[in-house]
Amino acid sequence: MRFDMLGQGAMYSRIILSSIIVAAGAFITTTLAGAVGEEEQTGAPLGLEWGLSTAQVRALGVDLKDVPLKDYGSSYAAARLPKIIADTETVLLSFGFDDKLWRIVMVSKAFTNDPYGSAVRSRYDELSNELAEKYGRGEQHHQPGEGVYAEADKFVAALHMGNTWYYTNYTTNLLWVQLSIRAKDFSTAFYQIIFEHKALRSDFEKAKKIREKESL
Amino acid sequence: MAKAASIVLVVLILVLGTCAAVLLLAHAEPSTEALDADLEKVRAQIKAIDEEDSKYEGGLVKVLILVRREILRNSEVMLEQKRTSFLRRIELRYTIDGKATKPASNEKLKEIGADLDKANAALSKDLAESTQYSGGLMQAMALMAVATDHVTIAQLNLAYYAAKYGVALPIPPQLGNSGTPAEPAPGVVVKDKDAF
Repeated sequence: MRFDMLGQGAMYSRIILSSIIVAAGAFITTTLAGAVGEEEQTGAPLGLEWGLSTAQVRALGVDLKDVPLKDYGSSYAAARLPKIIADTETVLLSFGFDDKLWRIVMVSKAFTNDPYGSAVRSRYDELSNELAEKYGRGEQHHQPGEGVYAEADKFVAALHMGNTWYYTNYTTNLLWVQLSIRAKDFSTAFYQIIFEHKALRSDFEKAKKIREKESL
Repeated sequence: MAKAASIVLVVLILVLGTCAAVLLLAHAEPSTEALDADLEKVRAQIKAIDEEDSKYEGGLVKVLILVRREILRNSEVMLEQKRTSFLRRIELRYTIDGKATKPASNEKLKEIGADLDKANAALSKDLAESTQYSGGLMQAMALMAVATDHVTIAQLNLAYYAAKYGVALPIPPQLGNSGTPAEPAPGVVVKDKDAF
């Protein structure tokens, strides 16, 4: 009987110990998941954070110059960013009416004298892989040129004339990302990456509608 | 009386002649003979280029030939300008960035001369190599190397004449350092994946 009682005690101890371990594990997992989720929600490309105000971005050492682009709230050309990729020439940051960062646009340097778009396409492929690794498989929209623009050496001309398009969209729960090739003329192309925070974009759109209604 | 007047006249002519000679000598460095000799060399090279140019209808070698001809034309015009300035008694002075240019020292000329010797040696080597091929890509590459050597020599000749006669060669801003630094990257460059 004593043996049984001891056996039962040991069993209860094991159950309690197991419960503690499981609870601790669950707590740690939940905490870590929460932390990662939080980082995903606030962490933005280029060493920035979504939802930062212009003052907070400037406090990071970033120079902001006002640009006359009003479709996305207040937009600025940014310099001295914490992170940037090698061939980026311009970065535009857009803040909503509530002064929260919700849109980042990276524009590359010009790939000149390349009517085939070979160099810019090669770079596009590299970036496409990097973005897919981070944001999941993208949805490609590579429309071939038509008529005279179907020829390989008219690729950039076709983009310039709007005869073709070349972009990939990446969508996560939080973000919408678009990588595209655009053209300045018949032989000069560049790539552009747009990052948008979906929830903050929604806030911006709502605020915009309200403003438009009020102005009527 | 007439004899005395004649003596005075002769003395005056001698004095004036000496003054004129001194004035001419003061501006005779470098001499027009030296300029004429250099001009003749440059013109002979331009003539040779024109003949060479007629052998090609297009392609990179022709482009390099045209580049060489333009460089030599530059040399020709520069030397002509210098020669005319002597004959017209016009003193040419060039001031670049606040510093007046002047003929280079013998040491500097020797340096350029040494570079010219090297370039000529490279040309001889490439010429010899180009004769080994009768056609195809290898010959085209060898001919391109020869044409490039010719351009180098033409550039060095231009630099040599400019240094020898103290003629300035201003470089257009779009070809050289304009003094304004290139637009800096808008941030700290990192690997692609680290930026996203």
